[in-house]
Amino acid sequence: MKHFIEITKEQVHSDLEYNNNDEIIEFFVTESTDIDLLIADSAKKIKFSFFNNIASSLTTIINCNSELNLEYQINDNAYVYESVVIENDDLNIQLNKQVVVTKEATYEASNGLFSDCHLTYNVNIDLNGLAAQALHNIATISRNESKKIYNVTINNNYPLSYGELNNFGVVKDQASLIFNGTGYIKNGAKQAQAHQESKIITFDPLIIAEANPYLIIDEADVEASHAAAVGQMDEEQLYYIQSRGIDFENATRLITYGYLKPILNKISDESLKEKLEKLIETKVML
Amino acid sequence: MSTLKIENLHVSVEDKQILKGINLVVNTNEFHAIMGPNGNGKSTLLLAIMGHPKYQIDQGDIYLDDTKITELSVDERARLGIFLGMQYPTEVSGVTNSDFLRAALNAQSDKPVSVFKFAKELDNQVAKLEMKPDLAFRYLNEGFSGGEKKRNEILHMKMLKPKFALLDEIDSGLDVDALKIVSDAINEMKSENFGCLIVSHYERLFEMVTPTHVHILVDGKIVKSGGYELVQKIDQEGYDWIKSELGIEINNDDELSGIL
Repeated sequence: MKHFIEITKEQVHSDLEYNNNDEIIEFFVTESTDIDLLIADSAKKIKFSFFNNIASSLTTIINCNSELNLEYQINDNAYVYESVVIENDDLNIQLNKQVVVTKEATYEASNGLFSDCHLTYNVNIDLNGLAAQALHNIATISRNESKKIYNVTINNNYPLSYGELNNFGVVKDQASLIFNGTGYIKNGAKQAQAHQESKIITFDPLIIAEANPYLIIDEADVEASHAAAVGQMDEEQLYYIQSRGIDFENATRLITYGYLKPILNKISDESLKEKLEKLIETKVML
Repeated sequence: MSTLKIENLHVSVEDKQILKGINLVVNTNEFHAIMGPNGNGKSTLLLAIMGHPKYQIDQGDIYLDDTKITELSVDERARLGIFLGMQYPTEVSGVTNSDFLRAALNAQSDKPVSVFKFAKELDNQVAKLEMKPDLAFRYLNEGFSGGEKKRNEILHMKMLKPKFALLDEIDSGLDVDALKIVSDAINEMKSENFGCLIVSHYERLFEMVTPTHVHILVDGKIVKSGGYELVQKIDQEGYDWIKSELGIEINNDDELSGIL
């Protein structure tokens, strides 16, 4: 079963049950389903409540110039997979997401964000139940004048909860890209895990690129790891590839493609994945 | 027949002069061995022929037949038929060995290679080199053992069929069985259309891949050239005789050997 939702300034078109009041539009996902959510504009908060035990995918397509507030409540033992899609290059978007994951439920997000828009992407994920899980992946390209900031926070509030975030980015021209990744393990969240990896390849020396990993741990019995790196394309890698007869431009394309591909591989929608693979080629080429 | 000609080559790395006038002519159907103590410029010679950006040519020229390749980019040299089997092959994540090879083959031909023919040839070579079949579909060199990386360099050589292969310590990291397989693969290439320049420390490789010419490189210069008897002499006596016989001081600079 597939559902389409379109939200404009004035109207909500939805074949899924919802409540619409002055401040919030709230959708209820009571059974397993795939949802395409197209946001053309919204001044109100948009909330999704995913009921116990369901498995759903959510493709969130953003096509507006504004500040958006999204809230996902993912209840016990549910599984929610999300991809955020931004296609328009001329947008200026601030996206704020609050995600609450309860007992044994999973929130998984894989986003290939290759538009030239300005983007501030804030997501705060609360793992509010035993063995709640969150996996948050970003592959992004920032080029031309684009400014992109990603603040991803995962709070391990319960024992055995698992949080993982992977941020991979490519920056060129006069663009900027900042990854702030935070893993916060609260006191009492025994055997919780917080893992993160952020990597940025820069093409030009004057670019602003930061990968900041934060781990705040108030519990002793946990597992945590982080890795962050910002750097130019590896000269030895380029040399190696070129030594097999592949020219500089194609070598660059191979390296970049290979670099973003592990994240794209996590995107379950095949047609979206294909579209993103093509975008890498057009966006990254010099 | 083709000829790789190196004329009075002077090369420096980070302002340190390494090669101080190398002259060398390699024809197809010849296997040249380059021997010499660590840190005297053997790898530098190969890397400079291939065009590594860190290795600056201060003087001299390199020719492939009538083409002066000194000014050409790395990929242009490769497309003319020069191949470097590296001492430390680089890992490239996200790109499979097989996709990479196909891209490399497509780069040197006008029309795309047939996918079917390519797959068949790759299968065949992987089997011949007794490589694990999955290595062709894993990310390039990622998680390969030292020996697997070296075998993979030979796989690339077999697939790309260069006119001249420069093999930089291709035998290090190989056990006896693997060395045999790699040696057979190199010998199989020998033809009117293939020549080879091989750097190694060990006689064992040259027992299996018999060089037609042997050169000893000391302090950035070729101090002696000859035939296979030089390999035997070095194996028995080391390099000390060079000092007494030729009156050359050997600078065994281990500190530099890492980068050279």
